[in-house]
Amino acid sequence: MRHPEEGQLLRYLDGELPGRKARQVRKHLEACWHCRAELEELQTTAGDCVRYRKNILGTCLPPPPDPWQDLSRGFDRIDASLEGESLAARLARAIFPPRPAVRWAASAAIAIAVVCTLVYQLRETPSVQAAALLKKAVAVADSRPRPTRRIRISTASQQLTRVIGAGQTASEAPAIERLFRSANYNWDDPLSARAFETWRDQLPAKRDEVAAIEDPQSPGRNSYRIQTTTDASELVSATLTLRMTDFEPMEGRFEFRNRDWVEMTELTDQPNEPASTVAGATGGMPRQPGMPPDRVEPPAEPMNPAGVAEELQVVAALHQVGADLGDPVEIARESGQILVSGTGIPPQHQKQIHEALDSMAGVVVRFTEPDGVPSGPGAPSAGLETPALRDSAGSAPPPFQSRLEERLGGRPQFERFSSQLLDGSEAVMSRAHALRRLAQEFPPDVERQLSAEGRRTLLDLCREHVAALARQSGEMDAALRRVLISLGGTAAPGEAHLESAAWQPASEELLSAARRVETLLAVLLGMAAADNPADHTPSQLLAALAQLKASQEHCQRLLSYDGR
Amino acid sequence: MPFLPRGAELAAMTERNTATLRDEVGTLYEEARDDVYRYLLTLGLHPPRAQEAAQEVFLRLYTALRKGDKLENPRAWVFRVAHNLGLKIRTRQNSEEPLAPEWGEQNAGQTGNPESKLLERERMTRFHSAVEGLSEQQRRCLFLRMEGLRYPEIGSALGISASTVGEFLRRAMERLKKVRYE
Repeated sequence: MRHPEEGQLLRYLDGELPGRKARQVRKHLEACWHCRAELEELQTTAGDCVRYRKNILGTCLPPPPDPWQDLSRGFDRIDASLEGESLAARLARAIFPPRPAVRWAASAAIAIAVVCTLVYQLRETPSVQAAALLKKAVAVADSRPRPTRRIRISTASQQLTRVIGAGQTASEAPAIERLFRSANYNWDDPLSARAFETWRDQLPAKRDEVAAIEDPQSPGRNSYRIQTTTDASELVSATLTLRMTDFEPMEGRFEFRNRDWVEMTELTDQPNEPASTVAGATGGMPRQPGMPPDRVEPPAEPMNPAGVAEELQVVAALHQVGADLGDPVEIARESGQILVSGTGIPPQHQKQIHEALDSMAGVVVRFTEPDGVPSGPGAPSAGLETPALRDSAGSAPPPFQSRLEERLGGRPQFERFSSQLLDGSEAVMSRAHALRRLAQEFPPDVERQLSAEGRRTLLDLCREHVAALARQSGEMDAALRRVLISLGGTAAPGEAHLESAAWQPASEELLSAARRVETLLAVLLGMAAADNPADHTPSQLLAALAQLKASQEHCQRLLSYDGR
Repeated sequence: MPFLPRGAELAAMTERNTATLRDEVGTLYEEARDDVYRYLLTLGLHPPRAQEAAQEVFLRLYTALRKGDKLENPRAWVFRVAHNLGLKIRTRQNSEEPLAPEWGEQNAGQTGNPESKLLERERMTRFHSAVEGLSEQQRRCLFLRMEGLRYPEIGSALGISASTVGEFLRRAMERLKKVRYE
């Protein structure tokens, strides 16, 4: 009988499982007392949550200091301000109604908030603040995935396509490059708000013009055009057009003192073009206004080797700072980029992750609470501490507790013993999860796509998790063995069936074994009900520990260099 | 053949529409404002700020609906906006309001004899400690779940995937389950 995976019972209880899966779980529950008992426990805990919300949060938190306002006045104010909106805006809204909230509404909210602020500024001051606009655009660009992208570069005499962010060093257009370098304008990523801002900031004298270009037919095509002119540089005039909806640079025009000019337009398709080709040799259409990068069609093959290798580098870097254990930091591959996201990550940890990943091309780190606000100071960390065990106020002690207390020399010793074991078990579980996650991210066919060095990195990561797991489980074993035997447990000869030929499926077995130890440990320490006669628990736990050890050694063998 | 509404008819339709929206938002405000206020307190807002923010959230809801936004679940929308607004306000506050319920008679006010009341109170004290011991992410998911939000809605509020919400909730429930055996 295969029990539902970890977390599935809660999802089932919450109605979050898809129909087929829910039916499977329901069927399993009919047959399995153990899982039914688990489910009841979850229901009881959900009931505790409800009582906590009602009786504690509902009555013991400070009440609202003032009477609740009647919102009618606020409604009037809103109605009046909406009546005052331009007819064009209302028409545009009627023709292009806003989309319902979607998963990335959070990102959209950031962009909208920024746009609102900017519109406000534009309306408030006649001379629009180019600096503020660029600053915002840089901030938004920094928060987005930055894929390898191509730009079309046109001059009076030639046209070429250039790949940005592909690590190309050879100069594909030395004459144009010289022009930009003479003006001290960043040639590495010239069509970007940051390059424009950096150049503009260094000018001792300049004149800015900002225009908001609106297209009432399609608000998604609205843009800001920033033009800066100066006599203090070889580049005497630069114009950058940013799309209003997402601040993505769409076009740039650069005019130099010697009357040369360069125009740039971002292209969106065929991301794996050669670094530089002569005009006409490449396809590619200019980026369609109103089409943010998120909506660019993903590559047909989701697992291209470059993406896998980059993802592995990210995994390795996250591992360096311990971010692959504990609460999940998500890694997603989107349109050839690696997006690393997390929420409520403590600032210190965010900083470490940024330091580890910021220098990597094509990797975007996004800690989004949706408006980009970091978690509050003083928030408790996702520590692995377990709550100290306390008096159960009259309830009958679980079967082993008093015997354990007796053997260990008293209640405080039992509490210490329990805490250590639970910490150890959680550490084992987190390693087993981390290994399984790697197995899921890099199944055998994907692993084969990696270079020799990539595979070595991957295996090193896996080995490290298994070694840490072995250390932790060894300590647990040492702490438990004598106690379990003194409680009547017998260590039966091992009967492990370990047939996996690859470390990926073996990691599943390892996780199952770790889970079994965790479950039985909870029974032993009186934190969960036994699914068998309780007397069997010490023997079962000894067997589970042996199984864990065997699984871990099997994994180690499969991961060793010799075994490959 | 259908005719386009004339100016006066259009005005009357708009007025009716506005009145309906006011009713809808007003009803939700009556029902959910205390919940939103409480949620903002759990985020660490001072009570006056939390109350202002709660009111502001419903005005934003009205604005969104007036502008034609189609909201599948206005209550979930309200909590998402409250969460974002609350975080912004929290960063401006000099200090965070600790989540410290004042244990009075009322919270032990369940039915039963004094002994069972005392037991319940002790259990809830332990439960509160366990909630405090959860990670920030786990707690946020839990509180939003307590308010009836579904996993995708919680994910949307917190900027994480629904599966991550499931994982945070699983860990939170594991931790809270142990309270019963303490």
